[in-house]
Amino acid sequence: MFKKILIANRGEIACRIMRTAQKMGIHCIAVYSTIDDNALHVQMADEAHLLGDAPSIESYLCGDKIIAIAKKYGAQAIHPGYGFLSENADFATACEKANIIFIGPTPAAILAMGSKSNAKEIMTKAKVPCTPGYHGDNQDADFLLQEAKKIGFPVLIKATMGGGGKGMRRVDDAKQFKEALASAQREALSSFGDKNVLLEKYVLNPRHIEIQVMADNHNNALYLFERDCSLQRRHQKIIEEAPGLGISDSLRHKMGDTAVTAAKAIGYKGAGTIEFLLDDQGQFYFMEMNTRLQVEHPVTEMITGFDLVAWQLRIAYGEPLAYQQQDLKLQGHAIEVRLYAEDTQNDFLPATGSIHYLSWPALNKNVRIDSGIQGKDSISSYYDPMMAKLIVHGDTRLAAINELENALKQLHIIGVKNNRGFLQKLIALEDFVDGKINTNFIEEHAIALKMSANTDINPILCAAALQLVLTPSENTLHSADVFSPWYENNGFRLQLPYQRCLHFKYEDEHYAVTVTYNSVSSYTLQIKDKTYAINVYEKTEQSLRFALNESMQTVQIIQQLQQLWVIFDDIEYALQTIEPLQATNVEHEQHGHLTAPMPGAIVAVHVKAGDTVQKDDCLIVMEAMKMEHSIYAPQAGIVREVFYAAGDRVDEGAELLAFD
Amino acid sequence: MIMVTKLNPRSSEFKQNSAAMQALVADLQDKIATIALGGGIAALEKMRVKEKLPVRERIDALLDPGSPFLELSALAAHGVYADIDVPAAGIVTGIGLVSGHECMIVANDPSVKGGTYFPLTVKKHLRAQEIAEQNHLPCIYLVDSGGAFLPMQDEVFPDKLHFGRIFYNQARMSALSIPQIAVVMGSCTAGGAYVPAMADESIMVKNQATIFLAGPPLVKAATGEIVTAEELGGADVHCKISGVADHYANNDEHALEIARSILQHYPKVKTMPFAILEPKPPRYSSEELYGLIPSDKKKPFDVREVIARIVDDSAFDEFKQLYGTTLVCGFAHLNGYPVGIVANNGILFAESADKGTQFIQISCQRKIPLIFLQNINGFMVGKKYEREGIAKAGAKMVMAVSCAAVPKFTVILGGSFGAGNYGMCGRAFNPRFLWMWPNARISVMGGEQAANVLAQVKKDQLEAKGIAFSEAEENSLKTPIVEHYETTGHPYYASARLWDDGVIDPKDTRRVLALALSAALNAPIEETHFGVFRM
Repeated sequence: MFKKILIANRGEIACRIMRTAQKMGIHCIAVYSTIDDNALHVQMADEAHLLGDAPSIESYLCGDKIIAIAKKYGAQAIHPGYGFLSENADFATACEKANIIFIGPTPAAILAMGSKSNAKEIMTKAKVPCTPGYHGDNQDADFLLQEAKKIGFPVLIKATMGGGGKGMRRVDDAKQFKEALASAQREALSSFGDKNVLLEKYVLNPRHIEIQVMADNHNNALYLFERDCSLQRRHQKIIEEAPGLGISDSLRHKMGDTAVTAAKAIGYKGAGTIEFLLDDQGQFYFMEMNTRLQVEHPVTEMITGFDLVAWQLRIAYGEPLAYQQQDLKLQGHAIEVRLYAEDTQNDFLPATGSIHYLSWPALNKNVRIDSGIQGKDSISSYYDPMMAKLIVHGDTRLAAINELENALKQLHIIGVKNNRGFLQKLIALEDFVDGKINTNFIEEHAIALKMSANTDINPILCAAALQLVLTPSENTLHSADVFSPWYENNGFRLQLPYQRCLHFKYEDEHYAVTVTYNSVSSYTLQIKDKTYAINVYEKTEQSLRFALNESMQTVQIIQQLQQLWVIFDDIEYALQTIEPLQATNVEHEQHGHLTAPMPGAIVAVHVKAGDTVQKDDCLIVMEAMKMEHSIYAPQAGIVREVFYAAGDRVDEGAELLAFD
Repeated sequence: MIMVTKLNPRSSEFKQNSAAMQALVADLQDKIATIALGGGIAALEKMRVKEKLPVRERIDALLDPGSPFLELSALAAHGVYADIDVPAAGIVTGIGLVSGHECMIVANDPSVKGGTYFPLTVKKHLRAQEIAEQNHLPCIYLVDSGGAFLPMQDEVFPDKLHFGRIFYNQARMSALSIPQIAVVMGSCTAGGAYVPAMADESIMVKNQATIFLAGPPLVKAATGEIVTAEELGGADVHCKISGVADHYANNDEHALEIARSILQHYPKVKTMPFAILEPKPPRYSSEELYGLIPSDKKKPFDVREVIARIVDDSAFDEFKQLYGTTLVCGFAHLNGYPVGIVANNGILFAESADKGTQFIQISCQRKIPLIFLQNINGFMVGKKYEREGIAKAGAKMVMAVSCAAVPKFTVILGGSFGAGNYGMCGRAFNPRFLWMWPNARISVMGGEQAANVLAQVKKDQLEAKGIAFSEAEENSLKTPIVEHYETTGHPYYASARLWDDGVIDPKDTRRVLALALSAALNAPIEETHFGVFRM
């Protein structure tokens, strides 16, 4: 077996690869960018070397530097993980030339599958069924529009070199086609360095079923059953499970055999995934092949009991597959959820920030976390916003859902907006539990998913108010008068009550809480016409135990400047405190300004000062984490000034343009 | 030594005492609640309409959230001016934390006669400054005042301790590096203009604050110039043109926030002159103080029971426990601070005065703050005692008390009569703070005593002329005297005239003393130099 390998990746997948490799006694070399110098994957590694600045193009995409490091420090092989260089044939070739084993398929196989049009051609020849579409080289917009009309709307525009939903647009009618095309091409260019796109029939109510295959250098190939990846938002998967719902054994074998055929058609070796669209008639179409380890590979590991990374390493080292197809048994049901740093209330836009509090569920053979983050980490806009994956296993799908529910309750990532609460709502939907899922599931259930739980917010406001009342001031830290009665924070007045009014913002609503100090631990809180008698029993840095009108409450509270998170009954509530001065100035908030909804880069500015625009005109296009986001005019008006140009990097909340 | 109480909270006497004291406390609370409304609900509403905060809300917004506020003399001017009600003398003063520093807040209440200065307003302002200077507390003046109350200008303007003294104090404190900050939130006319002008830094609220030596009517009368108040001395004028003010605020809240940030940059760090211990609460409830003080003022009580309810862990080490037993002296900790306690337990004899003198000397040598708990009818009288030189013993104690440079704190628990008041660090002897309990009485002698003395004199005069003095005549002479003493010796009467810094609920005594002790430690403890003791 290898003695030393380099992992050319970051985040959870780098950690996950190291976990297996280190267990196998392999010395692991990590690489990192400047902002990842304290990241978990760097800490876990046996040695780690700097690649360059934060942008991937200067770090994790620098194949030359990675190979140089591998050579210099004696790595026998490079594991590319997923994303970055994992499906880059040039990099695989360069590894080969440098006498370093690329843990993955051959450059030829990557190339064959890397171009979607090419792949479909090969698959059609190998009698693998494909969806109707245009996969040609003619990229003329008018021509493509004609092709799209031929295929029939809705049509999907996809980057030829793409993957992971980037450079992908669904177009429902001809009128939107050209704008969507331009945007997809731009995204494709920035993500893959190639703006070519292909067109595909958009299959209605499809399910996204993929087959895990594993092939060795000795002409053996196996399929490790299917994964159902139908639950997606913005064309990116968020929940994957195995086995697929309602997939009969015969369909499973048919799809599995087709997948093996496809893999063999290109002389594939290593771990790969064949993605199929499955319509409600049981017809399946080849979509693409991912020539890498997939994000969702743990669900396959859970139902087969195999370690796919260990298999990858052995195959790369030249060992043959140690199993026959009939040896593989499907055990129980596994579900993976992806924890993204994103704003589920705002079109799942990527979110950034620092993690102030992190808690994982108790891990056991049925509950697994693959994570690349740790407490106090920062999530930047430079890389993929996925922070961690939670994978559960049960004897049945329902048992797995139960595990998932419990695990999500115990899981908290505080400080960065994330989709935990959204996932909780999602897996609680009746249709999800009943397995009535397809790739449009989230759009179809948008209303139910948007609804906030109809909880009484007042106990949360009480906890938030107590947090502020009980937090000692930092102004007196250096005083030698350490037990000073002045620092007791008790609001003592001679013969008079002491009251304070605290202001909070929760889900865009303002709340005022009036606190009357009764004694050291007893307070009366007033929220609108409701009064609460509070007795505080215990306050630690991040938790609070108090009686509210005679019932005991324990909550977690995490405070970071004006941000406050209350975890109450396993639900996270994000509040903002409003300083008294701000509270009086609320009504003076500015209007007529457009701000960046997320940190990122400006891709295109469609207007200039003095332009007259109509409501919903596209003004500026931004990109964050390789996803484009258009900013539209909130109303008709005149642009007064534009503060940024294409290529500029902006922070969340930065004023982009002034608007009259 | 941990003190053991002899008090029985189940006794009928305790219950009776407790009820009586609670009635006094309830009355005090009622009075203070009314006073806290300043010029009344309607006047406060009028301020809000003008987007101005009422004075107490200004103070709350200025102080650190949750900071204690040790208000001074809330009863000032209570019932003093015939036909004119001037709650709190139209000025709220007290100590609170601003950005972590104990500061003296002096805040005009514009809802009370436009915040104008009555004689007691001046006295209260000067007392706050005196406390600030003694204890090195930064001063923040929330100015909103029409200046002197003109009908009484002769009582506020010319004398040594009148209006001018405010500016004299500001200058002297500034020289002592005690920050002087003025927040002008309303008018600030004539002499008042010097409060912000004399301040180290001043803040003005736009469209509300004005500073000028003469207002528009006076200007028109003097020179014929017609000008609005805003043009004459608004925030725009003084922050942008004249430089009379330093900071420009949009509203009250903003102005107070600026004051807070000024203090945020005040780099003084509080140091302790001695080791402090982790505070322990007393072993006995402070509420029991209610049942401890006899409702009948003639009945004595053991002052050790009071001490047991205010010092840490009820631990008190007595000095000369077996000598001069009518004065209890000893060391303890209060909220972790070391203190020497001098407490009356009966009439002062020569031995008790000598004991007190020695104890004060020890405390000064060791720089331990002193707490005086007064309940004193006076020094012993009579031929025997005069011959023993009780006056000499009293003089020594007064000498020690006068010269003691350690922080001194006085609480009048019961009677404060005659020279006893002096020996026990009465107002004239510069305690850093002096408070009274609501049951206390203060006068040159007790009302009964005074009545008896006068009746005796009258009787002697009549008897010399051979006229009999009937019991009925004696009673009709004594009753008004007793009543007069009862009125003028009452804590409200005393507090209204600023003979003290406030009337406090007995159960707050420990906390109030702790706050005051801590505040006093902002100033270094000076060396004591005693004068000549008459031996």
